This record gives sequence, C-alpha cells and structure tokens, in this order.
Amino acid sequence: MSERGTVALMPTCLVDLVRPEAGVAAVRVLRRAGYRVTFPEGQTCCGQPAWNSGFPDEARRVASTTLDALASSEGPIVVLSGSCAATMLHAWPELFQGDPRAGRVLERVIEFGALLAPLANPVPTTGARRPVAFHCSCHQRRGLRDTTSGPSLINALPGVELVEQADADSCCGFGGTFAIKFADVSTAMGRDKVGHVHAAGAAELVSGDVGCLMHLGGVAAEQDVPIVTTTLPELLEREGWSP
Amino acid sequence: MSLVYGDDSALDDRLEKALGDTRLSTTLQASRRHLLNFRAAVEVRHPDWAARVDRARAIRTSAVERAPELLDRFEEKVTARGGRVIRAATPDDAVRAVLEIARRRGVKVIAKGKTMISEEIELNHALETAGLTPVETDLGEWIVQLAGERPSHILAPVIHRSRSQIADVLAVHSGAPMDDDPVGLVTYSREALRSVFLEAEMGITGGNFLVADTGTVILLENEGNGRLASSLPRVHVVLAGLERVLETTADAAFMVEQLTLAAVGRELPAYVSWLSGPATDGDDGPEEFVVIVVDNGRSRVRESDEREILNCIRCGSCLTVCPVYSKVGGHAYGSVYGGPIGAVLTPLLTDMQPGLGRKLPFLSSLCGACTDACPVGIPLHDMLVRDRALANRAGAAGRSERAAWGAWARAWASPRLYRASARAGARSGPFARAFGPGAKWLDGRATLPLPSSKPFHRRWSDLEKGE
Repeated sequence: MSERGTVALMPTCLVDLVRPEAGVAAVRVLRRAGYRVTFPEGQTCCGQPAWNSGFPDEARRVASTTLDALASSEGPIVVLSGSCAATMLHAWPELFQGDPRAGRVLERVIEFGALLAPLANPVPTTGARRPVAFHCSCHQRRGLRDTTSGPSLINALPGVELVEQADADSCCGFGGTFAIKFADVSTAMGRDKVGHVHAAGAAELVSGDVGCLMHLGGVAAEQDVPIVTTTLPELLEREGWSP
Repeated sequence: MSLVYGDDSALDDRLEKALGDTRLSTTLQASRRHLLNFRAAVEVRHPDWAARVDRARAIRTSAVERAPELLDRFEEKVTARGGRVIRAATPDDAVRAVLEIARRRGVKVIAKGKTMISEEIELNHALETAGLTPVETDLGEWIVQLAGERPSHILAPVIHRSRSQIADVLAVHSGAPMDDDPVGLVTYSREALRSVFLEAEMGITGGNFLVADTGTVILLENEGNGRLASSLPRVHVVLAGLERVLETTADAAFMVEQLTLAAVGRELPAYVSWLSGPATDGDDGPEEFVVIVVDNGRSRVRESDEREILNCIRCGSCLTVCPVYSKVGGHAYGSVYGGPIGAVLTPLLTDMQPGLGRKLPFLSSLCGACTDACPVGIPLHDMLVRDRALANRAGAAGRSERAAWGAWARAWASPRLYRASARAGARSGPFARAFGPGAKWLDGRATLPLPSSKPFHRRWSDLEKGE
C-alpha cells in the first residue's frame, strides 16, 4: 500500500483549525497515491503570522516548536499551503541561523500540489464538466515559483474543467494581518478576484492555500456571488483522483 | 517632514476615498496590465533578463557601497570642467543653495524638468515663497502643478486624472473651455510651455545617473522638456540624491537601457542627455552648471543593513504592478514616494520617526509582484517585512499589540497550549467576531473563517486507525 514511501504531513495551523477537512482529504489522497502518511506530533505553526507582522522573535519561538516536531520525522514534509512552505523556505534559514536541523528539514519541505503534480496525467475532454477556477497564491507563484502544479492536477480530473480567469496573477488581497489592518483595501482586492472568477464562468474556486480561500469565500458570500471554495486536496478526493 | 505630506491619522480616510474612485482603479489596473504585457515582450527580446537584473544589482550595489568615493571623483571632474557640485545634507540646505543661485543671477522664471527630489525638498513652495515663478515643464507635472496637487506616481505624475479632468485644469489656465481631445490638450500645453523655456533664466532638472569617471549627469525623458530646460536658460541646476552615482560610462550605458526597459518597455527613451558641465567657447548650453547632491537621510540608510533600497533607480514599476497601489493610487499613501518603494524607503529616510512613515510598511499584502518587477532586483517585499520589524521596535506596535503577539507566541510554542487555544477559539468565535482585531474584516461575512469544533489534530487518531 505504501509503494511510494513515507511522507510527513504538515497541515499548517489554518488547515488544522479552520479547514480540517482539507487535512483529512490530503491524507486520503496521499494514501491513494501510494504514500504512507505520518502526522508529526507537536507541530503548531510555521510562524508566518508573526514574521510577516514584524515580530521575528515571536515567529522564531513558535516556529521552533514546529521545527522540533518535523526534525524527527521521515520522508518528504508535505505542506498543505504554498504560503507556509514558502515562509519556511525563505524565513526559516534566517530564523534558525546556525541550527543544522533547519537545513535538513527544509530540504524535505514540499507543497502538496508540487509533490503530486508529477503523478498527474491529463485526461481527454469528454462530456459536460464542472467549470472550476484555480487561484495560485502569491507565495506559491513567487515564493515557490510554481504556477503549474495545481492546474496540472486539475487537468487530470475527468469531472471538472479548468477555466481561465482574468488577472489570475494578481493578489487576492488576504495578506494575513494586512486583511485586518487594512480591511477595506483587502476586501476591494478580493472583490476584483471574485468578480474575475465569476466572469470566467466558474462556480467553484480551488486553491492550495486556505488563507486565500477563506478570504475569497467570505468576500463572495458578502457579495452574493455563487462561488464555493474548495482546497486542492478536497477537490482531488471528491473527484476520486489517483495517479 | 518633507517626505511625508499626508496626515498620519487620515490614512484610512484617504484609502477609503481612493477606494470610492472606481475610475482611478480602472485606470491603474489598465496601466498595471499594460506594464505586465510590455515586460513580457521585453523578456522575449532579452531572454537574459534575469542575468541583466543580476548585473544591474551588482552595479548598483557596488556604486552605493562606494558612493562617497565615487561622488568625490564626480565632483572633481565636474569642477575641472567649470561646473560646481554642492552637497546638501538636508532639504533646507538644498533649497538654500537653489535660492542663493537664483538671487545672485536675478532669476525670476524657472523652467523645471521632472525631479522627485524637488518634491522631497518641497522646492516649488520655497521658490514661490521667495517670489520666484517655477514652472513644471513635464506635461504631467505641469498639470499636477496647475491643479495644486502632488504627483501620484514617480513616472506618471498625473495618472490619477482622466482626460476630461485634465481638460478641466487646462481650461482654467487658458480661461476658455477645452474638450478632452488629447491632441488639443498637448498642443495647448506645448505652446504655453514654449514661452516658459524662452523666458526662464534658470533650468532645474533631476538627474537619473551621475557618472563618476566623467563627471556626467545623465538625464532621461520623453518630451524634450528636460533637454530644453538644461540647455536654454543661462543656469542649469541638477538635483539628485547621492545614491544616483555610478562609476563608469559602461555601467551608465547599461543602466540607461535597464531603466528604460523597465519603465516603458523600450531600449531607449526619446531623449538621453549626457550633461558634463557649462557651455564652453560659445557653444549652446548654460553659462553656469550646478549639481546639488542631496542626502536627506540617505547616508544613514547607506550605513544600515537596509542600504539596498538605495539601489532603486526610480523606474516606477513597483508602483504600477502593486495590487494595493493599483487599487488606491499614489495620493492615498500621503508620501512623496508611494507604492512599495515608498513604503520601504519613506520610513528608512525618516529614521522610523513616529507618524505616517511607520505605518506605510504595513500597507502591503506582501504578494511580491514588486520584487518580480524590480529591474535591479531589490527584494522589496522582504524589505517591507524587515521595515515592519524595525517599525515595531521603534514603537509602531502599541503595548496591546506587542502583548498579544507575546501571548500568542507563548501559547503556540507549546503543543499543549496550542491545542487548548484551538478549543477556546472554537468556543469564542462569535465573541471574536464582535470584538476581536479582525472584527472589521469578519464583519458582514456569511461564511466565517471560524475555528472548527474538531480540528485536524483531533481527527488524526481515527485517520491513523483507518490506514
């Protein structure tokens, strides 16, 4: 059953606390793909909220707990967020200068979609398919330089059709504490994004990042725009994907 | 504090007002898409774009590092050719130097080319107070001046006004109604400004680069007004930040192309002037050539860990591509330099003093579009994060915010307390919605991002059994 080996799941704090269904779906999809899944005990958060808010000491304090948990794990560390994976890869070397464990952990860090995309095979177009839009988070796009993993997995699903939205490369406006400090600007950016997704004819918005989705889902509801938000693992599970 | 003109406490009001201006947002979004399109074309013509950015970064880093030495060399060369270099530590020093020259030469009318340093030192205000008549001759800057406004973009100062809003401004100037036909508006402006060039006893321009090896000021522009302002009047005064310096003409030639590619997507602008001193032997050009090199906080930044921000060549790309800037425009920032560069630079130049500067680093979603667009590879979104930390340390974060982060860190550094906070969070959702720091963001949302009653870590044991 685990011919592809063992992976260590890092759901991230947002998935753990706000969208646990995405974590459950990820476990099922990973198993279906042939991985043995572990959940390293004691992980909390990568520290991003504090890091991006200008509190690096607080970020280090929290991230070191997660580093402790991940250091004793085995195999690729599968992160259910492009944003958190990017924060780990970019901020952790600075937060944990001189700690050799950080380098060894970071070598194993991979975002969920990036792990599975090489196993995705495009399916031929057949019949009516449900149109979905994909939102690539800015940190996935510019931090991990990965804009293709999500779309190639979606293109491997016979039941859905990936539709192109205008301004796909622009930020959804979430930005963590930015959404709290400058709520009106953040919401205005989100309305643009929701408008583009709706105009593209998609009733479902998929992303690898729960942060963006909970922001956009809220904006869509506030605007009465009929768009449901689905995380990539949830979509893959629902559509019965396997390599 | 001349770098900041907006009221600190009115930042939210300015943002709200800007968000209500849908035409502004439409214009800025179109401008953003335009830049992304021509940049894509640039990267096709220059497939080595990433290597070019690295080279530009290396050139600028070395120049900023060696700025004092290079500026001495620049001064030596300019002086040898009969020009003069004045070092101005503060905006007041720079303004005094300009006024001194104007008085000595009996100047009344001044033809000005585009210069952001002039905004930084509030030169027009000082000149007008002294009874002089400075006239902006860059078309956009002229309209901004006539309207009594500030430029809202480093490169496109009047991008915040529509054609018809520009026609309104020119109608007041001409005393007759004007329609919004661009050709008519430009023709009118051109004729009005032509007489200013002929009348002006002094020209003031910026300088994009100062070349140390040759004592040359390089001026890039598209309208020809900079060339007229630097050659027709008897005195030409250049205002430039001390970080504009480059070492060699080869470096300068490369940077001219890099700046223009980034800003407008072409290899060269319409006019590139290499200005190396006053006219000699009856040639065309000014009798007097003065370069005022302005510090205004730059030396302190140069000596700090944040010196890379001085590598900026003011192409304006980071403003144009920024999703926040393109929603609210430049005036909302309330700072001479808006957008990502302004949000990083302003607090550093003002040494994290209390006020607007400390707030600006937070006015970003950290999406990184600025960093990707920067032709000299400044990691702007990383610098925004560092600025936030510096601002917090300087006091931007109040006692309650610091305490909240401290409490968060203590709890989430402990797996046991983290799990306890998840249970508490799920129970206190409605409370958080009403009173928490996120209340405004959460307000009115039908689907609330509230903590789940059964987080993933409590579902794991069942999942593990089901393996």
